[in-house]
Amino acid sequence: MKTQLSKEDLLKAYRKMREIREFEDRVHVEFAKGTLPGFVHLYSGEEAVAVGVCEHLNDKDRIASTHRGHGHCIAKGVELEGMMAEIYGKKTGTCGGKGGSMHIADLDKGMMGANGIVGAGPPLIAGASLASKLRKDGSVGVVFFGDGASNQGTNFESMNLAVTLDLPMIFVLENNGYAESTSPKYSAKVGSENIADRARGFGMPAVTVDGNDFFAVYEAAGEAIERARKGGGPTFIECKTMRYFGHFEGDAQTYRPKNEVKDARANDCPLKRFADAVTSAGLVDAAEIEAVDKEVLAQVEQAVKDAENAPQPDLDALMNDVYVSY
Amino acid sequence: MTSKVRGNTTVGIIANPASGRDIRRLISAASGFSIAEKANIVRRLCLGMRLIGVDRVCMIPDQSGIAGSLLHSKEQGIKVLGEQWPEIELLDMPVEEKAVDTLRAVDMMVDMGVRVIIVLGGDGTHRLVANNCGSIPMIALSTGTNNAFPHFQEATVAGMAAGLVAKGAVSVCEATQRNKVLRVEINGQCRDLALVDLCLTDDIWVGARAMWKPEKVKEIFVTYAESDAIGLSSVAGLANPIPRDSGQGLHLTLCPPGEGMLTLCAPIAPGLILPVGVAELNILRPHEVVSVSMENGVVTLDGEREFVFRKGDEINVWLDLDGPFTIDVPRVLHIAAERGVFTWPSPYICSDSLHQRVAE
Repeated sequence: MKTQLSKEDLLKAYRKMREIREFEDRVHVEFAKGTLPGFVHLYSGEEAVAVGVCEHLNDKDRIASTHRGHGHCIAKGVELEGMMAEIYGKKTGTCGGKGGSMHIADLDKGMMGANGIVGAGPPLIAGASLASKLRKDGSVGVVFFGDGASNQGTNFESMNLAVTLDLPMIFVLENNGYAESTSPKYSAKVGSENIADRARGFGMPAVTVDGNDFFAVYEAAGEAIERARKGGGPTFIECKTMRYFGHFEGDAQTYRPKNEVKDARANDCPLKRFADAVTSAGLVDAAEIEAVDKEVLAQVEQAVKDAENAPQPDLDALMNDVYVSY
Repeated sequence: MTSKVRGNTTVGIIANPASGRDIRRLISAASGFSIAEKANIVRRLCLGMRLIGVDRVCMIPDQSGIAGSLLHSKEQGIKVLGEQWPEIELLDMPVEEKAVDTLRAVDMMVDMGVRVIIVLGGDGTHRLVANNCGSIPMIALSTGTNNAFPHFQEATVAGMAAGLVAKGAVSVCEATQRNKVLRVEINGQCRDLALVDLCLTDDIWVGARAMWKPEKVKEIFVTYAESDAIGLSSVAGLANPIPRDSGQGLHLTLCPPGEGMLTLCAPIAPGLILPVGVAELNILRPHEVVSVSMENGVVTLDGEREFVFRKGDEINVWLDLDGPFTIDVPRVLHIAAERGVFTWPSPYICSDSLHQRVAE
């Protein structure tokens, strides 16, 4: 693992986080206008988790995502132009416009898919990690899941399997404080409200980190992924973070304290923290950060225009890709 | 029978839900303390304190479940086992799940006039308490990773010791010791303190906080250096032991293993023993100010990276003998035993069920 990131590395990481933020904030606006079909769940506020982890991965490494999957896709290298078109349901979308927000997948990038089923990711990555182990290609599998999914049986079964088979698998729990609308105080009562404790019960190393601090996530993920590549088995990383929007777009969020998001945006924003850290340390100039912000804003603006103008999927492609022949 | 000593007494408890769960679980063989176990430890503390007649325990609230589990245990213990508990008061304060929670809780405990503060955590948690507790004595219990400062101690007995001091059965001056601290000043402002060790690393970020890579550490300052210590202070403890109660500290400059005046194999974290080169070693005398010559880096306090400094920042470190007081639990119990505190019938024991059992 790199212990001193270069300026190029730092700017790349910041750009990814900014891409996620701009993408999600724009989808939030477009959804409110009624221009997007389907349903969206936004990742704004959790950027440091996806990017802190995926900066250690290559295209052979596989990840599985959640219903809140746009951030994972962008961090793993899926092109945001294709993603935007996919969310618009257009032919030029990553999955031909037939997957939509909750089914964006790009296997060439090792992105096995967002997933509308809560807790569906861990078994997928247990399988992918088993394939990595059998192929001995040094790749790893990473599953992102939330505090709600942490209660699903699929997650417990996958933890058991990962430990039993010593799989190169990393469980990244994005604990954003709400299982849909329910606090872990009520939803994660088994033995502890601190979910990493459960993983220790399965016999795997489990750590809890500040999920709004890119560097904290980056360090923990780096150690876990390196360990997995060397055959050290699975690791569980609990990232304490916060989503800035509702569980879904349209969620009235009556379950949240009044100023929770406002305070988080002002005092604990992962992008601001990153920018403050690297500029105050003299590693990156403030002007370079601003330049990235402008470039990404323009990129997202163009992606929306392209998506709006792109054609719908052809009617005769309706049945394509529905079933796959092995 | 009621306690013959001091009336209304309150003891504070700081139980850090985050202690014992940092990245060192991943890079070393460090143990983890679950939330459930921490709640169980607090339960035993409460039962030990109630025996001596502590009326009230005020506790830091948390969002991880320690306080919630404790209240559940209390309800169950009273209903099912007939236990006697002190009143439990959760401090009315916001919970941010950050270090500021501990600082805020200690401030409130000081204002409330608690007699003792019991701390569950590692070196880092105790450092936070030491920042704000003033002259209120601590009982330092280990639930962290590197535990150079706190001790492993059965909580029931620690609770009894807290009760004995809080109620005045054993006086503070009989059973406490004053600890040294390292104070760090940045650009003329006193920034923080360390109870055991202060290190300078060449990191550029605070990141996952814990420090476990000796190759990144350039200088180590210690208040004391025990040869059986774990963590970065072990380097000093193996190079030149300094007792906890001596009037001096130590300042080491590190270098790559194999270079400098000596190379040591030091236990940097549980299960992680690494070679460390020592280039220079100097005794640190009280209030002798050492100015840091590094231009960029991170200041690590008691094993955790705390703040970044850069070119132009002026950093000074010095040893202060007037740090926090800690209660010597074995000594308290020893004194109490010699005084017959636990010999029946005892005016110090406040337990209806024990009285009933003896009467039967």
